[in-house]
Order: sequence, then C-alpha cells, then structure tokens
Amino acid sequence: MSGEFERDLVKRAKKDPETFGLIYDKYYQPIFGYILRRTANVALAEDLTAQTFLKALKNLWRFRWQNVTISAWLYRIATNEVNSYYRKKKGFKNVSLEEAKNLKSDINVLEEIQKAEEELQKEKDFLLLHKKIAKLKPKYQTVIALRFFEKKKVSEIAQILGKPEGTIKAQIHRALRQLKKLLEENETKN
Amino acid sequence: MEELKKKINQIKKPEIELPYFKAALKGRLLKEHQKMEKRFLIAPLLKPALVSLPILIILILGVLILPQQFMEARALKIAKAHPEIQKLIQEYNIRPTDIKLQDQKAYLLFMPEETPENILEVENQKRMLLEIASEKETLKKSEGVLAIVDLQRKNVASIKTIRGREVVPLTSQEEQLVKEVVEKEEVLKEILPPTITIEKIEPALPEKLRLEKKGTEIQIAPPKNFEKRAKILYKSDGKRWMVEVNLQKKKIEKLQLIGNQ
Repeated sequence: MSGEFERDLVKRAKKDPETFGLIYDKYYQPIFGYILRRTANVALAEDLTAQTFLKALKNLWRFRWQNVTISAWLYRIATNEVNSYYRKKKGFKNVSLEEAKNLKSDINVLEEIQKAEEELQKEKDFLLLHKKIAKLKPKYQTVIALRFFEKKKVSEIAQILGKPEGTIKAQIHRALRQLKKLLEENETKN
Repeated sequence: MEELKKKINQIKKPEIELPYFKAALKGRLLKEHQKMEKRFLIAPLLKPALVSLPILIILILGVLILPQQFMEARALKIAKAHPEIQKLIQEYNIRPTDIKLQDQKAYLLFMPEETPENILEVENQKRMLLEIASEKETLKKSEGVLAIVDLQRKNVASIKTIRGREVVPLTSQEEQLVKEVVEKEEVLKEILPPTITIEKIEPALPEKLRLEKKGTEIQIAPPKNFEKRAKILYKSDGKRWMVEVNLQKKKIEKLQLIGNQ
C-alpha cells in the first residue's frame, strides 16, 4: 500500500467501521500468525491478538503523526503485547481480558481452539525451537521471530520496533549467539 | 551462525487459521468502533442546533485543528533532521512521545523506548528476581530530551536533557522515608551484603512523561496518576545496587545489581 493510500485509509477508518474492518481483514492473519509463533499457544495467541486490535482501534487517532506503515504499527502493538505478557507472565492483567473471555463463549470458537492446539502440537521441531527461544530476553525473542518467522527485512524490523537498523542487526547477532549456546547445551545434555 | 540460520529457516512454522475466532473478534471490534462513535453523538433535543453545527465544526477544523496537525508534523520533521537529535535517537533509543504548540514554537518530548524489566515483589516469603543490567543502560533509562522547534525560523531552538530530579524532585522527608522503608525490609538484608553504603538517593523518573500547558508555559510533568518513586543507590565490594521505593505505597518495587563501580 502506498503511504498516501494508507494515510487516507486510516483517516476513513477512524470514522467508518467498515473501513476499519478492511484493515482488520487484511492484517488479522499476519498478526495472529506472528503472535502464535511467538507464544506457541493458541488460546494465548487469541487473547493477545484481540488485545492488539482493540488497542489499535483505541489508538487510531495517534497513528498518523508517528509516520509508520499500518503493518509496522500493528506489528509494534502486537510485539508490545507479547513482550508485556512475557514480562508479567503470572496471569497478566489487561484491559480487554473481559472481551477475550466473551469471544470464547462461542462453542465454535472453543472447538476451534482445541483443534488448533492439536495441530500445533504436531509441529514438534518448531515447539522445541520455541522452547529455547522463549528463554531469551523478550527483545531477542522479538528480533528472531520477526527475522526468521515473519521473514521481515532488517529495515522493516527497524520500522516496527522504532530502532536504528544497526541496533537491530546487533540484536539479531546477539540473539543468535545466545540461541546457539542454548541449543548446544541441549545437545550436550542429550 | 550460518548453520543456525539455515536450521531455523528449514523448520516448518505453524500456519493455523481460526475463522470463527476471526469473525467473532471482528464483530467485537466493530461494536467497539460504534461505541466510540456514539460518544460524539449529540442528544436528539439539540438536533435543531445541528443545522449550524457542521458549518461551525468545519470552520474550527479549518482554522485550528488541521493547521495544528500540520505544524506538529512539520515540527517533528525539523527536529528529526537535526544532527544532535539524530545522534540522541541512535545512542539512547529515544522516540517522540508528546508534542505541544505554543507561541509559534513546538515543544517535543523524546523518551527512551520502554525496555523489559523484571519487577520484583518484596513481601515476606515471595521470591525476588534480580536483574543484572549494565550501568550504562540504567543511566540511559532515566533521561529524556526536550526539543524546542521555532516554527517561524524552521529550526531547532534548543535541546535539553530531562532528568528525573528536575520533574519530580525529592524532599528531605521523602529521602528519610525511603531509608525507613528499605531498613524495614528483612529480605533485602539477606540479599544485600552487610558492607553496603548509600551512594545517593534520587527520584525515579516516571516511565512516561508528558508536556503540560500551565498558563503560557509548557512544562514537563509526570502522568496524571503518577505514584512518586525514589531510587537508593548502594555500593559494596566493587558492585553497585539500586533499590526503587514507591513513596505512596511505602514499598520496595525493584532491586537491581547495576554493574561494577
């Protein structure tokens, strides 16, 4: 999407629910997928996705002057939600927990979660890798996920996180170094 | 490292779709959007006034708000193009968090990105988490930058570093309270070495600052529901420790080993 078009879309989305619905339709799957790959837990990914989009809706008014793409902005909110979860961990409190619970009162949604969890448990290699990644600091988990799971370029990650490209490259390097150490420790134990 | 990258790239990543959840969440978001819109609807009794109201709104937008947004965007552009601000962004990872216009000047507040911290609870038998942070990082977290842009001359008139003690200074009574709170905490005595001495007591910078208009002045202020905190810095055997105390709740909220002297 061009910058001009995006600015216009956001402007319309502030007033028109249908336009906001278009933004949601376009970015729901990438954001949910990103959060799922960060958390390896379907139910948690649903909660955090709901929070991400609710926050996006509530903060739509300030989107414009921060000068980032809609995609980068949504990824940034999602990243903050996931990192906040990892920081607090012990039953995180959030504004939209009530909304997330309401969404799960639908039996179809509950059955869907169950089937999705079963699907997820089949991805053993990914889950093993995720277990190691989850031991890294949230900022390192973030750059690994964005670079290798979401296939984002360094420049895109820099825009998402609002950091210089040099910092992102350094963080990726450090994250990989730590991850390598964790994987080697695992191999030694085995 | 290349092998590790290859290994990660080769692992199949989960691609799961949840159509029911997607639809349910969309419904919820659209309802929320409508609620937000309804807050701005005027009661039916005032409908006759609505005839002239749109014209008035357009006039206000045209005269005040749109130019304001334009000036804010322009001020931000001028600020970000300044080499010193670029350097500060690079070094301290700061980003713009608030902007206010006054008398042909724009006041821009830049704050560091929030970084994850292990919050500890010190209450009787609860576990304490220690975060080892480098001294440089801790100092960086307590700084913000105020840039004043002259919109007429289109340049950055001044750049000022903001320090916590300027925004929320500590009184001597508050310093005394900090010492008392820390002394009462038995668990700290188990963790901190007996040879520690106090290096200094300083106010903790609020996580978020904001700009506030007071008369004709723009000032930096803590958030509206801010709870004042203080940091007590200890040193011992070549190490430095930081304990953060919530002055309102009179409890310890953070303990950090902040590197070597």
